[in-house]
Amino acid sequence: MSTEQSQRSQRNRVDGGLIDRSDTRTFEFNNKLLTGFAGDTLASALLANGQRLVGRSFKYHRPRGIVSAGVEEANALVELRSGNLTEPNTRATVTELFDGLVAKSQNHKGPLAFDVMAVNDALAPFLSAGFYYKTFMWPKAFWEKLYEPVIRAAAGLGSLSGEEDPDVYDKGFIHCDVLVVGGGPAGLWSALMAGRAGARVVLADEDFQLGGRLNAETHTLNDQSGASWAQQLIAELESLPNVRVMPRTTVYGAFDHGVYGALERKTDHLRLSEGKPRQVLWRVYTKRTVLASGATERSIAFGNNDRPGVMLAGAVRTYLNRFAVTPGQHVAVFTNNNDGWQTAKDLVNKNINVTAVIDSRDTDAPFELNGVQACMGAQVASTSGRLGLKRITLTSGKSFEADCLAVSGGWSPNVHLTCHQRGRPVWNDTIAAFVPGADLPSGMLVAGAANGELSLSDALRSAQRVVNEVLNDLGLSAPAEALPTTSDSTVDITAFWHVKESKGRAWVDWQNDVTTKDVAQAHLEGFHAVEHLKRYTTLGMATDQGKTANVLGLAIMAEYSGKSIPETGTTIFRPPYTPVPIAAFAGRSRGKNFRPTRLTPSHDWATELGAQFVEVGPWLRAQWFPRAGESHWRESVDREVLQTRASVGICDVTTLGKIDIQGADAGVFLDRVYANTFSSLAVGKVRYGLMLREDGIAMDDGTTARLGEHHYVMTTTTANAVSVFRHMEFCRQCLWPNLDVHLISATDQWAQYAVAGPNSRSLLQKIVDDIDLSNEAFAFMACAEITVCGGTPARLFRISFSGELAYEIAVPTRYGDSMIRELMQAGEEFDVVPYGTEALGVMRIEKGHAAGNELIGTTTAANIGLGRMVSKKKDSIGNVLSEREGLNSESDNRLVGFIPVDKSRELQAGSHFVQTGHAVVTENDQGWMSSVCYSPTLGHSIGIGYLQRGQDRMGEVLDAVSPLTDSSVAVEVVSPHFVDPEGERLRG
Amino acid sequence: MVNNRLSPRPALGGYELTHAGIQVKERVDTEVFSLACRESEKASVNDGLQSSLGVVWPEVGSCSVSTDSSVRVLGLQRDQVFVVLNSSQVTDGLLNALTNVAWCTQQSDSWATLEISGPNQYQVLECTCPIDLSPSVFTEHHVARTSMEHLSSIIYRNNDSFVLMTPTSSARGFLHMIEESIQFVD
Amino acid sequence: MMINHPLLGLRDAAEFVYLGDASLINRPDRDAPDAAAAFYEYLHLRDNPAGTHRELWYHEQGDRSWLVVTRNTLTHDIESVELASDVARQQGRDV
Repeated sequence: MSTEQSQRSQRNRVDGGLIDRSDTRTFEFNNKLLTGFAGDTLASALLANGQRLVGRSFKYHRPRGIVSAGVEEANALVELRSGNLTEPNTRATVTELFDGLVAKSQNHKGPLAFDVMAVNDALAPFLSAGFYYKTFMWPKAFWEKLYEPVIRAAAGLGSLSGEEDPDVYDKGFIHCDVLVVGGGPAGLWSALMAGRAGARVVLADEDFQLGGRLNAETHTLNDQSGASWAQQLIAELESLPNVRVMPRTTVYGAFDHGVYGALERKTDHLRLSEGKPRQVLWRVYTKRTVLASGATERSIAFGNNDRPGVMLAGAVRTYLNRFAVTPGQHVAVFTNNNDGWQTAKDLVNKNINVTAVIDSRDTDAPFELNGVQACMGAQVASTSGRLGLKRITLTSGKSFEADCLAVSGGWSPNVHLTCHQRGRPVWNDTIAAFVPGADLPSGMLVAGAANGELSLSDALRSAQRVVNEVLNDLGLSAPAEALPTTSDSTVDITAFWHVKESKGRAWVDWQNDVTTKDVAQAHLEGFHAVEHLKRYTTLGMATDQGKTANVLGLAIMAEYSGKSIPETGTTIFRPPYTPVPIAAFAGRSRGKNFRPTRLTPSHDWATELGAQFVEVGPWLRAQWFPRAGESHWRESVDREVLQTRASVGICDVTTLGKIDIQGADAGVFLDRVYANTFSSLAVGKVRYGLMLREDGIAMDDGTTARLGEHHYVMTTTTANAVSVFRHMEFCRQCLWPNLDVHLISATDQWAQYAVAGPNSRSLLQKIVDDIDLSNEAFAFMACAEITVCGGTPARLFRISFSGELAYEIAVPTRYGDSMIRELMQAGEEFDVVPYGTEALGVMRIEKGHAAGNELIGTTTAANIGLGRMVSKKKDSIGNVLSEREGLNSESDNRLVGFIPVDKSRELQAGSHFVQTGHAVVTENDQGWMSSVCYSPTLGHSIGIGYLQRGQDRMGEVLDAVSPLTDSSVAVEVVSPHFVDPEGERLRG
Repeated sequence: MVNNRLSPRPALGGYELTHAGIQVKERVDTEVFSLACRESEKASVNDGLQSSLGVVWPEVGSCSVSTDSSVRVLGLQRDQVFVVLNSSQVTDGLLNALTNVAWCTQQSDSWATLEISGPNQYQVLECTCPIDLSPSVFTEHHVARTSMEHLSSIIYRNNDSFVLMTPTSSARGFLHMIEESIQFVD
Repeated sequence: MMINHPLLGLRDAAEFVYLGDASLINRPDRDAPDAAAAFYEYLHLRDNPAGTHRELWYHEQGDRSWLVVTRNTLTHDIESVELASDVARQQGRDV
């Protein structure tokens, strides 16, 4: 399309504005190709093309048009982009126009101009506030089956693509002295003064073009236009190295202690983000905040005030002055203040026909406008025009032609962020609006319109005052700079909320289809409190959160209840100020990046072998190592177990937590954190340790080695490594601060491999340098610091989880990969097998060792048969409370073993035990099966679990039942030590 | 006894990258030892450090650097510091000195170390590191332990670059995070 | 939330792990005659004040120090932050 053609199609374009006419942008709205210019929003481009009807309302499917020029937009929500990039409920008023933009209107079936769901509008008398609550109660079963699906299909805003968002999102951290929220006159001035004074300043504005109302009004500052004055300040701000100017950035929340949330839209204004983040969620840490968030205009409630073409008066000026678009060719104004008159004046100056100014105030007109009829003390009763405004009728019966009605009900300061820390705004009668209360978030100061100082000169003066206070707080001196001289006007409002003689429904909240009647009904039914009003009528909910509606609804409620507005209540705000996509909160924490992954030193080697991996906490561990011809995991696991027990197997056990403990009091400290004693452990020996919580329940277990007089190395379970370390630091710092003991994690320092099986000694003898591994020289539970493979430092522990003759050998992590390859090579002659966590689990069940399935937060030492380990000769964590009567009953659960009577049956973990033939009811429950496996060593299924008085019931036959899977297996109670119960192998 | 010696492998395979005005390089030649002592022993530990390495016991959050910049002590806890030095400096004599000075633990293999530099390094770091790294606040004499994208990390300055230390087992994830941040740079 | 760490200055609460009432420092004497009751109270009974609360935070992603943070539970205002080891010593935990 040629520039000339595109100009012609944009029939509502006027002269001037901050758009770039040399940069034409083509876009698609409801499959229609249209053009606009760089600097347009989707809304301004739609208005330029005469597109007044842009959507249907949420509930009644009423035709709706653009009402605002900002984030407060209640109607013009579109589905932006297509396919997996589709973004529903996007406000056209803040969507920057890019070439190739595709948008669709929402909430209609069939074409926008003929929505079949508009039948809801005819049913309106039945669909008032509370309708759903009252109507769809009965019959109860119908809710899920009929009502709810039908309502869901008919209501709601836009629709999701159902596909994964292909874009990326990021997060970040910004530190500053002063955060300035809003880049209007007050924000720009504050930022510049703070920047010149040398403070680290962040200036954030939600708009892509900083300047705020300066871009939308015809003010002059020092004989400069507002927009060019703003440009001058922005240029200087951008030149200051200590100032960061952030357009397209919404500060959406004020959190504790000077922390703010900000959403920067990095590539939303581009057709494609090309791998760069769409949005970045910033956490801003600041010493002081200047809130210069401006104000939002309200409407007035009158008959059919939701017709496309009825707009906020300030928005009409924004479109006219900033975007060079007139929303109509015959415009009327309805106002309760002087600001509405400014709209008429600006329109007249652009040679747009203004048919009338209707002013609810019964006073003289503030000024005369050529050819404009002024109706003082008048009110609009209704509007007409099927899909867009054609005519307005006053309560007097007088009527005017108008394709646009600019409505000004006064301005509400954007106090949102002042409320995020429980601050309550206070009512100001002069401007008929809420202004920030005294209880602001710490470090926040409010300037300009956000503080109720609505005129330009007042706003600048307040900015000057606020920034001086901020600089004083920061110990910086304020630069001497006089405020600019401004053209100015006052708002001069006389509160007026709704036209009582309205003909037709009068809308309070466009987005939620709440009318004055709904507010009246809420009042009648006793929902007077603001929070009740909101929830009963849905006033102020959804994407706009009532930015244009809340105060209006409150004021109307106040009228009905005959109270003042402050008596009726205040609106209070929570974050976010405007919607923040969930994707931005997630940032990069999606898919594989949801949480960190930890890899063992043998990971690459195991990958080469085709190992199957399993997540164990953050770790990836080899679960088993399948070999060619093995079609089922059990085949691999059985082979790994049998080969280990027959000869030798190797398993990476690096993931166990390792804590290096040093200090003159290290032994004493361990005596206090472990239930059993460690100060008596000989240097060069390892001992199993059981750690209790203070309530006497088992917390963790593992082995601890004494490497020197004052040096121990503790192992924890993989899962509890972090919490055990934290607990030990608590003990060290909070309970016994004067002990000489120091902790440091050594988990990542050492690559550690279990070498298990009858040939483990022979294999290791090939690896270690000159050390005698004979049973006499290096007995069960010995440990030593040695060297391997010709000088690499290593640690050797003779400990066994499998029940076999076994060792664990540790080398510095950098040698871990080399070590596993060397061990495998050295083991070739023994037919060495690598084994994974499954075989490890099978062997520990065969041996009857308690593990994660057994230590479940209710387990006592006695439960696992270790009651005698809790030494009574010393104090230790959990020592006293482990003696509680309830934990020491004769009928307590004991860990015992189970085998199926019919060996071909499989046991199930989680089964509960009942006496043979007894009913499967809670009263008959005698315990549960905690771990089961197929034992390749025994050739049948085995299990361990807790059974009441288990130790005294060997040989008894019970039913192991699982009501969930409807199974029951007769089991015999046996010792949990299925393999080598006397421990001959591991000591041999 | 086998004849094969074990070959060391750096946590990130000696990673290097230059992209978008940023250089990232894995440091493979540093050794790290933790030293711990009680408050009452600090004075004597300090003397020991000064005579053996020419550094002092730093306050938490600070670094002590030897005059020839070869040894840096990171003040990570009130009663625990990390001594970072070049592998070539590690001798039996030095290890003895460290062990005699305070409770010493080998930490070299616990940490992967990345050095990041270049004009756009702040753009990468501000999206990962919650610490204020501006030159006026975070100088050559500072160190911080924090978390970046849920990964534990230690950060300090080295001339115009930043040194990042992260636990070995999650180092690949950490590197992935840094690479992603570099891709995101404008 | 920001916690003003006595050694490190303001640090984001995200670096810390919360435990609970600072009275956990006062672990009873195992050899006292009423030890069982004392431990029961120590472990299970807590005040839940609407207002000033002394509580334990652990700087896990930082210097690993346990802190006693005095925080107003109504406003989140933090009145003071001390090293728990110092507090413990002051309270006579020199055993």
